[in-house]
Parts: sequence; structure tokens; C-alpha cells
Amino acid sequence: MQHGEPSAAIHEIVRQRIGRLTVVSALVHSVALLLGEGLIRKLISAYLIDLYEKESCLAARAQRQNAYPELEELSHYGLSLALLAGQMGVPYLPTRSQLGSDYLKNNPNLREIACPFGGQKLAAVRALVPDVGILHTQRCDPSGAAHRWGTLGMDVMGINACKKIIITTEKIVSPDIIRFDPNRTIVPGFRVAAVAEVPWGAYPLHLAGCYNSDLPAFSAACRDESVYQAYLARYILGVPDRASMMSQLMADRGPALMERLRIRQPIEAHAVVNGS
Amino acid sequence: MNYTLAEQMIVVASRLLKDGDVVYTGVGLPTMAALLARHTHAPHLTIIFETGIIRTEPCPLPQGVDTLASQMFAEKLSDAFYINTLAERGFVNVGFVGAGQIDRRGNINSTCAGAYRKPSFRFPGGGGACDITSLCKSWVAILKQKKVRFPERVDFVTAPGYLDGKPNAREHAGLPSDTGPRKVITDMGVFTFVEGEMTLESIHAGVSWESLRENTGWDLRELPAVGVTPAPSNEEIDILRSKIQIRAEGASTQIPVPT
Repeated sequence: MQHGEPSAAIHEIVRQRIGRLTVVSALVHSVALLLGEGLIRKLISAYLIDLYEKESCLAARAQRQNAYPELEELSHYGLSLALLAGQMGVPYLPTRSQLGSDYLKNNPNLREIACPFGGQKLAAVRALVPDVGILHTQRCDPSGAAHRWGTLGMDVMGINACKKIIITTEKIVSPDIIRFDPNRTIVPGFRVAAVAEVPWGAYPLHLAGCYNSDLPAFSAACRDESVYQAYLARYILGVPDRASMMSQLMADRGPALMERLRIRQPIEAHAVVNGS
Repeated sequence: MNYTLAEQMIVVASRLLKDGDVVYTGVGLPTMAALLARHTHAPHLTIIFETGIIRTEPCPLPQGVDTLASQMFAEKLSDAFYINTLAERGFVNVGFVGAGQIDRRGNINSTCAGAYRKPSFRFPGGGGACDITSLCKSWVAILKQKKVRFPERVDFVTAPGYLDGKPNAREHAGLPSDTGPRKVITDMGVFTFVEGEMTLESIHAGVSWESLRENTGWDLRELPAVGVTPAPSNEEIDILRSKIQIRAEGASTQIPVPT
């Protein structure tokens, strides 16, 4: 959610043209690419700037391909509860948010219910259990046990709700490094189906402890059809992987680009001490 | 000192915050207003952003709500679920939200115009606006005013105000009691709510009553004495410009204001 999104993985989905997807997204900017390329059948989300024609040409592009997605909208809290219910394996979770709103009238997976104890009105948010979840993290071990820090948006319930989990990571580290600070592990190795080491895997978004965002460059590409076509051809379809994309970006925008984005004033927390 | 209408909006919103408040804020002018209050009269303000950030120290103005700068030196980094549980439990006094449209009863539409399945116009969606407006103890909408953005009734209630305006409409819908919109701040004036209806409280200096009326989509109620919005102080403008770095787009609303 707006921090450290799995952008490299989304680019690979675009390259492989994996389509007819149902996408669950909370402020994942790179989902714009899936929209623009007509790969989304159904979008479950609270917000996508690219639906807004004033800011982006990608909704219009999807429409021209007859591939504008079916929308299922709810609030951000609603979405986090749908995923938490998915993580828990229960059919729904209740909240008072969204009562009185038109989300309830238009989303069949939101329903007003009466509290079984006190009778008051509640909005039941139906569980979401995605087939595959992709999370980008700062580091993980070869089994996929992954450390994630910074804001977590909907990462904990988002990833744990999924049937299969793919972790992309800045760095694959030894299991000891994970086990020295196990409170930071967002998902244990046994839940993870695949791991890929992809430095700069969240670019153009920021990732805590690693790099700042380069979002204005991406947003500008989504605004204008010809700029978008050039961006897509040069940085996504025209390269085989993330490392090549970063090389291309440095070739075009100067060798200092990555150094400029990398964090300059790292703050090291006091060590968390474990042991016996 | 000259100031822009965007700065006027930020200052009005900032002054609504009390020291010790907990404010849940969206991106843009709302964030600037919260930061201004923290830098001036509310040193014990807690600012929360929906991606999971809870901060008591100010930060540079983030482009989105979530950047490394807005994460850094937070009191707690959590997630969207935790942030909203704070609101639903009633620990958040004030919400600051933007809006695509807002109507006579304070209902916000950030979803679409026309029928939902065949909209004539799409906004990007509500994000967390519905959560802020459903759950915070009170909330303030901050947006630029145009007739199309101020319809009598929105086509889609993304975020509930006083709904149909009948007494206790929010409670009847099941929303937490004693919640609801408190003010609307635009680049033309400040509005409060009387019996569930948006009511003009003050007009900004340099804005005409006629243009404010022309940019409202219904017959607007007014308080018995509509004043001129108190101007920003020099200190507020200094801090906004030096510490919060109001974005250049604010300049487009620059109007000459008597000093």
C-alpha cells in the first residue's frame, strides 16, 4: 500500500501478458500497467488514480481494448478487513464503516447485518482469499521467511490471506539474519511458494531502509498516451528484467539516478536483543 | 502580508485543531494544515496517515501521504487495519479529507457521476475517505469550490455526511453516534452544519458573495451573521512557506488580498 509495492513482479506479468486477472490492490501504482494493457478482468480496490481520466490515459486505453475491468469497490478499511477475514479463514468481518454509503448498494460482497448480540447494524465485509499473493520485502532467507518493515499498509493480512505466496526481495540472506530478529518476519518460510531476489524491485515506489520513490516519472508516463507507449516499450517490454530496466534508466537519466534515490541518511535503530 | 487562497484554506483547517488532538488526515492541503498546527499552536498533536503512520514529530510535506520522510521518526509504524481500529474505537477526534464532490448534507462523492455501472464521469475512488468520515469523532472536508463539485445531492455517497439530513440519520444508518461533518473549507469560504445542512459561516477576503452563490448547487443557508474569514497571521504564512513548502500549484489561486 503506497510503500514498497511489487513493481518488478507486475512488470514481469505485463511482459508475459498474463491476463484475465482478478486484482486486489490497495494504492499499488503499478496496477496502472495491468489496467492499461487490458490484463485486468476484475479490480477489487478502494482507489486507483488511473480510473480518473484527468490524471491518466490508461482507463481510456483499457476501454478502447474493450478491457475496462469490472469494479468491486469498498473502503480501505473494508479491504483490510476482507483480507484479514481471508487470513483468518472466516467468512466475513464486521465494521461500522461504510454503513450509509453507496458501497453497500453496489458491492455484493458488502452487506448490512444485525449484530447477533445487540442487534445493531453492522457492515459485513466478505472474506477475500486470492490465489496468489506477491509481496516485495527488504530481505528474506532462501525458504521465503521474510523481513518487512516501514509502513505495512495491508501487507500482513494481504499476504497471509493468499493461497500461494511469492516473495520478491532486495536481498536473499542467511536464515540466521532472519532469526536474529524474528519479530520482523512477516511470513514464515513454510507459507511461501517461491522467492526471487530482485534489487530495486519496488522502484518507482520507495522502500524503507533502501530507496526513495521516483513516482513523478511514472505518473507522468501514465498521463499521456504517447509518453506511456514509449515508457512501456523502453523500460518494461524492451528489457528482460529489473536489472536491465535500472541500467536503461541510468543510461537515459544519468548514472547518478540510483545514488540519488538511495537513502542518504540511514538511521540505525538500537539493536533488538534476543538470546537466552 | 499577501497570501493565497490555498494558504487561507490551510490556515482555517489548522486552527480547527486543538493541542492534544489526534488527527487522521488525507494527502495535500489536509496534510499541510495538520503540519501547520503541529508547528504552531498544537505541539502535542498526533497526526495519523492511513498507510500506518502515527507521528508526533513534524515531517517534510510528503508527496503522497507515505514517503520515507513521512515514515522516518514516526512514533509508530503500523498498517491500515491498525489505523482504522483507532478510529473505530473512537480515539481519533478529527478527520481531514479531500473530496471530488460534496453535497448540501455533507455527503462526499469521490466515486462517479451518473449511474454506478454506466458513469458519465469517474473519480479515482474513495480510498479511506469513507472510513475517516464514518468513524472519526468529527471531520472536515477541504476542497476547491465549483458548482459541479457542490451539487445539491451527490450521485454516489462514497463517504457519509448527514445522509438525507433527517435527525439522527447517521445513527439510524448504524454509524457511531456523535460523529459527522463539522466544517467544509473551500477556496471561497467556510461552512458549518446546522440541522444536518451545510451553512455558510464566513467568506474569504476578496471573494464575492455572488461568485460563492454561483458556485453552490443549491439555495445556500447562511448563519445569521456571515463574517469575513480571519486572515492568516504572518507567522502562519512564514511557517507554511519555510517549513511546509506549499506547492507551486497554490500560486494559481493567488489573489490580491488587503493586508
